[in-house]
Amino acid sequence: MDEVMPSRMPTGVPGLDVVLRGGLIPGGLYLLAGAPGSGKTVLSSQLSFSQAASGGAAAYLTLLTETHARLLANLSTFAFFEPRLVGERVHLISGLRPLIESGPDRLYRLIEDELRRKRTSLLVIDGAIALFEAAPSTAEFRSFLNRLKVLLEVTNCTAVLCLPSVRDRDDPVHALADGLVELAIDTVGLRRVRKLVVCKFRGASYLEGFHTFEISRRGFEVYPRTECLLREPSEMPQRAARRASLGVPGLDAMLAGGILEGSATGVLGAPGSGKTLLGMHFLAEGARRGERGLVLSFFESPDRLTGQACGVGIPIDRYLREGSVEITWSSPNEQLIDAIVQGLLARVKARDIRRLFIDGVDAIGRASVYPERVPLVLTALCDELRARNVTPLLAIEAPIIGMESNVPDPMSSMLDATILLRYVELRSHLYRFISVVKARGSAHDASIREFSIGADGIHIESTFESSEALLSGMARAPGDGGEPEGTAEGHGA
Amino acid sequence: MKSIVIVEDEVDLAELLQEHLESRGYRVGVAFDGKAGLSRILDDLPDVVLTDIMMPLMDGLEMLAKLKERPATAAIPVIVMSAIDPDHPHPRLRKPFRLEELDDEIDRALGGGPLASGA
Repeated sequence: MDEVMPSRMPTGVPGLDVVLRGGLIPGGLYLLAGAPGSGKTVLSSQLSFSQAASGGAAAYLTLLTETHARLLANLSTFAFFEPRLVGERVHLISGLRPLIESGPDRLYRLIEDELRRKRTSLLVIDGAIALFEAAPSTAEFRSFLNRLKVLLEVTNCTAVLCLPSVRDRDDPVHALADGLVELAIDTVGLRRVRKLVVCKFRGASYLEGFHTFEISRRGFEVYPRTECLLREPSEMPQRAARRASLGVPGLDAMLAGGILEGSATGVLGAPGSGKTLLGMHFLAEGARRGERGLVLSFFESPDRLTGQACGVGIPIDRYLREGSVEITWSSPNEQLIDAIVQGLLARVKARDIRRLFIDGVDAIGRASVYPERVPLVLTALCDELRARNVTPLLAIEAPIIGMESNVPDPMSSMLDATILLRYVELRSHLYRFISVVKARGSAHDASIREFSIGADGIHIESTFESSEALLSGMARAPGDGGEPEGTAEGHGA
Repeated sequence: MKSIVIVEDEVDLAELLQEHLESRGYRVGVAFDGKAGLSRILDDLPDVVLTDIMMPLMDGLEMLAKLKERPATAAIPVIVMSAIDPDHPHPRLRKPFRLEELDDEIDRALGGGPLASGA
């Protein structure tokens, strides 16, 4: 027999419906818990306006809160606030007087009248702690909640009760509620990060664990934890059959024709070593072949990137004008890793991107307030890109010179191939070298080549068979250390 | 002495307005929802009604419509205090407002202070 899935009432809050796998269940009683300032009022108000905008009616019942005028003034700064809906489909009512004067029973009758008269589809009770405090006994409080639950069921109205916390899991409010969402704020160094967790969601599945969220002028936006959201890629990755040319003939030759389509390739190199130009070659070559490309840049602005590429003959400006290449620039400072990754995936999907160049992928890691998550998130990102047959090229920063030539640990396992760009010091000259240090599932030329950057971009030169320790960055010729074979004056950096 | 009925579901605001207007010499009655407000106005027949719009049990516009239907209350001056701007013909105090603005509107509605003779 087929499983019957309960229908859902979308919250209209970006990301929250993903966490809730569709939204709240109509007629349910939900708790929204969090300390003052955690975002309960913004979230429940956004729910109310979303419900009203989609044709429903919301009753926003205040018990312990600011005045309605102040509440509306504060809400008016958010994009979801729609003044014409206030009084028409979003009704603000104060329940404090009946509660204080006559207790929960009087408040229940007020709610019943409101729900029946206005065909309310969403009831928010802000400051619901006052209910508990005003009830003469736990039994009376439980009785109120029981009656409210029945009322919600028969009117198919969904209720959200805002509380500072659910003190005890044995609390009657917890036992009777269909769901509990908690909001919290983490202090990490000097940053404060808002997070949300669904502690209970009766009768339906949801994304477990904490998910970060932001409150901005756009309102409340939840970013489901990427490694949880993409626990399984959206599609099963196919075996790569075709090669994607990087647009640098000598490098394509080292890779038996190019990198495998749908594979993730890291380009490790020092600042100025040519990573960005290689990325521009890759995207220009894709555009030439009719494959749409995207740059996600964390350091260089679109103008600077375009200028650099055009300066060495890569016509990225033309492809930008044609729309076959796009550049997104974003500072990693104070960003949330899930916001970056999910924004990127949305863009990839919306624009049918086939080639992706992330300039400074390690910046994503530095943006994360939870470093232990970085490898999980990046692995999930690469898996999802593979599943969508997108070929990502990821530029990774390395020291200018020295022994370090490995991809940082968190990233190495997620990459199918690694290209290393090195500055090498030899007899008071700096030379640029390139090598393919890893190409999973593919033949490749393991030699170390010198390369230059000229009027036609990156040009791969000859091998260095007579020098040693090139990857260390401090090469030596056999014997007493002569100039490496094949080196021509002027090819140094 | 002139009388005023305040209909407002936000208790703290209603009580503050009541105290202020009493200190100015008015006789003030208060109701906390539209239904109770209607009943209070029919009983008191005040010189001015000061009402909110969004309230439980009966909203302000419905209450004003019922006042309009009754000859005894149809001509009572009304001042609407609201953060929203629904369609109605009455003077409006946009929430949040200052007490001086309230005083001005009350004086205008009554044609003077608490002891004024004209309405």
